[in-house]
Amino acid sequence: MKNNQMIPKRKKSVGQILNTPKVAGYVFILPFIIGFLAFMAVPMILSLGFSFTRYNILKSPVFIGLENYKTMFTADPKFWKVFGVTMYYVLFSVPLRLIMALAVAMLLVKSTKLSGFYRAVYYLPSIIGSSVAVAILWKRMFASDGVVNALLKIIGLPSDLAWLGRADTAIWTLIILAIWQFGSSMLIFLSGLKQIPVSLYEAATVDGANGIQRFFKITIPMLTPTIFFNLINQLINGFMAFTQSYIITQGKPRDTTLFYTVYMYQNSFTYNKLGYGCAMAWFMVFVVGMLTLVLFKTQKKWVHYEAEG
Amino acid sequence: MKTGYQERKFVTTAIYHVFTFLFACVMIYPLVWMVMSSFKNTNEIFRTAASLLPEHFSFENYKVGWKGFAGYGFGLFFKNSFIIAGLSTVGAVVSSAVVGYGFARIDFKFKNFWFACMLLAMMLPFQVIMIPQYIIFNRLGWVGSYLPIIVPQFFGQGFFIFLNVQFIRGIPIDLDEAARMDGCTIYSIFIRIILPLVKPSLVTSAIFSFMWRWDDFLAALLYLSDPLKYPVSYALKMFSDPTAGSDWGAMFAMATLSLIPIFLIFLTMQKYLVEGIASTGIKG
Amino acid sequence: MKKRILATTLAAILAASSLAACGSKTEPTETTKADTATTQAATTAATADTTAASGGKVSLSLCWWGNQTRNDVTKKAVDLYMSKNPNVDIKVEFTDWSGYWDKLSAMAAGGNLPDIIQMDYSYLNQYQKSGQLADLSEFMSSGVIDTTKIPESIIKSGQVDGKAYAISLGSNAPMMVYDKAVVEKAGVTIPDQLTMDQLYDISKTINEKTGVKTLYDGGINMMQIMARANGSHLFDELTTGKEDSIKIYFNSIEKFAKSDASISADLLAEKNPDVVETKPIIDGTTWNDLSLSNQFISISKTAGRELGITMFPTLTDAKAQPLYLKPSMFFSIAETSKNKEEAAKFVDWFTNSAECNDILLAERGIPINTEVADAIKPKADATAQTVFDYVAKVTQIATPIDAPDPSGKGEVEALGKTVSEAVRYGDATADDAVGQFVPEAKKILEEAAK
Repeated sequence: MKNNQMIPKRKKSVGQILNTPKVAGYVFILPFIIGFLAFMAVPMILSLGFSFTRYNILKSPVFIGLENYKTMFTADPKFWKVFGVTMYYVLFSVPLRLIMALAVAMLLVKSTKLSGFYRAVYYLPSIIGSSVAVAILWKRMFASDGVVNALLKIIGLPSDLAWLGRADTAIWTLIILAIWQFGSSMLIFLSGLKQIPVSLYEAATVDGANGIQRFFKITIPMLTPTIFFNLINQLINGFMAFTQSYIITQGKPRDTTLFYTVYMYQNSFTYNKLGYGCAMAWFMVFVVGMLTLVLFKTQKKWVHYEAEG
Repeated sequence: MKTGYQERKFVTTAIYHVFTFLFACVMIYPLVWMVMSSFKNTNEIFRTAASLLPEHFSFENYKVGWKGFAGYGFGLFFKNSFIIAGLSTVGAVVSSAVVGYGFARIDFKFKNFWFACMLLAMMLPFQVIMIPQYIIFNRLGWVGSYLPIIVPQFFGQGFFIFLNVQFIRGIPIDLDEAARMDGCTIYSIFIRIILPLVKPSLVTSAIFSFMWRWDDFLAALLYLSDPLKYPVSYALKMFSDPTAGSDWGAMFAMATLSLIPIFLIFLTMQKYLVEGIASTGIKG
Repeated sequence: MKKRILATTLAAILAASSLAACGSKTEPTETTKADTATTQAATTAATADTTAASGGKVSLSLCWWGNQTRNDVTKKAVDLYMSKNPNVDIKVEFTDWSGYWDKLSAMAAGGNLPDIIQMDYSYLNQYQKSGQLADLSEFMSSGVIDTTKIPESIIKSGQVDGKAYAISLGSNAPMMVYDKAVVEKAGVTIPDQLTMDQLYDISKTINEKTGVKTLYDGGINMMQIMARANGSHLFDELTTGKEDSIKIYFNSIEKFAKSDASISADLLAEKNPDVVETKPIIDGTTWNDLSLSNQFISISKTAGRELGITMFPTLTDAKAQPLYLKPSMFFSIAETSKNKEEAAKFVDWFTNSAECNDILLAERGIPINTEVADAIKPKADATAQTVFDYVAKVTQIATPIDAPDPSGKGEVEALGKTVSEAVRYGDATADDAVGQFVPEAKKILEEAAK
């Protein structure tokens, strides 16, 4: 976009000044800037500051330099454990959820008399979100005498597994929960699919492309901005996942389902070490930020924007 | 030949519906379990959890749950939730569309800096900024009112801004150019060209915003003190008390009721996710 | 042209108009609050509102956690108090257990604590040490809070360093619950208080005869009780790095973990005995549960079977009776409160008034005023009476409770859970566990004391 120079340098009216990109840009993002400075900036800076202190909320913080970060990296084995658990969770839940969401979106993009109903049904699991009801519900599903084992029995698989009690399976109950609640990604894919010009498909069909070819040659490239968005967003969400671990498994068994944010929260409030919690939070911001940066750098290679022609 | 084609089409459609329907059943089973549990006695929920249907349907949970706590009923909590979620959604959708357009279509100084700030705000867990934020709102004298919950929504929400950016960038730039030739300003392009074309993302934002504000209890927990102002999401938590005993039956009943508004919002809004928006734009 | 101006101003106006739209919906006009200094922020929003609105009235805020029953009865009691004391206006605020502490720490950070705070034993030390709680001793000695009918030991349970900062709202005692039918079927009798060795033997018999498993782990409660039976206190041992009682604890965990009669580690993790409704005794997986007496009613109700109550197990060669009375919860008054005396008057009424406790009906535990407790006992149902009797029985033999938990307790508790799990899953021996737990716990407590 090089329309900056399009306006000739003459005396400008207020209207013209407002119509220059550098001014208009700020006019448009002004709400965000005000909101950010008023409600976010100070708390963010403070929390970064707290990360260099010993702070139990009730007493004033004491500056201790890099002590929290040192403890985190060298003297707290649980820190690396929960980091590993969270990475594992993100690594599996994010791609699986996105694939599921895209598959169902493709299924539901077709307009039939029932599509509104189907969309609603597939979206329902996401509506219940992270309420306490989910905690009870999910534990029942995966209980030793629960539905999942009953289903496994029907298809003749071993069916006496205590899913939530075993170190190797408990985390999968949470991953499956994440996949089950694919609704929000699905909805975004659905909106993305709806935005693809029908004329492109018509042209391709005329050229003799079959369904699979149309999917890879048109749908996927045209959907890349949406895929990109969902990927970044789910990545952030994955690392920020809290409630599942907090209310369903409480980290059991043996901290194999203890998420990073839950441990951070426990440190901040249960163990009264908000300073340490803040240090953990900012380390996570660093990791997620780096991953996001890498994705942003690579987007030129694979994300297709109309705006760039 | 023709009947063969029709037959094949019928079979494909049938397979499509059977598959979609069966899969939908799997998806929805846990929810059905929850709804069914809301008709069971609390002790039945846990002792005979494996059976889906209650021994006998009882509306007791709904009766007990609806009366709420200490004389504050769920009718009141629902009203409060509508106020919070409704106003927040209007604020978040409108402001995020405006900000999103700024980021997506206009070049200005430090744009990347502000965008990075937005992403950063999305990445920082709320738990660690909760205390400083509380202090700010307390100094503003807002604690105890809806202001700390609703007002920030009017300044753009990272998720929705980003969503709008992605959608606006998917709209052919030729449209803007053509409008500019016709004498449109940056502002009128936004109103007349872009807004109608990003309807899917506005609808999506609205659905999400309403649902998230409806479900959110943390802000209510922190900032509200008068039970007269409690929303449903927050009230639901109060059926459970691990130290004394919980009324899960009543909680399931009220949780079931609290799904209905979001479900209805979804049903009405999703109709606006219709195709042909961008394509008509191109043809025109 | 008109359209263009409209468009150009739109974005700028948005923020302002949205504020207005929202401000008109929410009524409070808190312009009186020009306080900027942190200390002055102590004036709670609620106080500011009501003093402005209701003239000379004294305004108190009262905050508690609880479920539907507690919220209902407490509000009723508060309404009664207000009708008898028209000069007092009490704003109530209630929430769930876990949210309560998040909220309270935010309020404390904002200098915004409610006048009357429902307090828990595990948080008492921390809030007192940071100067958030008012000293109640003066109100007790001046008679504003009448303590004449309250046992001395109960007053002591709310003390830190010899001064009262909290007053108990009811007493609990550690207990073991058992399934009467299973015990009968197995043909065993449960004495008043088992030893851990007797529990082990009984668990074998019950499993042979009925196939029902035994629960054996009470986490940090169990550690504390074993230390007490061993003649010391858990945190005294841990701060000095002593291993004696911890050895006994982990040996016992290991012994039960290896037994077929005990509930398996993975089933225990799946059930989660920390929540009443998912305790393994509810669905009959185990025949017993270790808990506090205030949970007896809800366990019985949820299980829907007849359950018996007996004392929490002790050690075979116990050096002391480990059982104690635990305050179920307290009321404290905030140091920042502007109406401490009025708050104390309410607390007195809440504790000593028969009329008030007629409404509350021991929902927070057996009333600490012995006269009041006797007066309301006949009004309780059979299950609740069992609890009354049990607490009365424990009162006779109880030894004083451990000092309020030191800071770092939460983290030690989590560590204890993790290490105990390792033993249960067979990944660590009792000796490994002791070797890991004691030094780490010591370090945590040292750090937390800084």
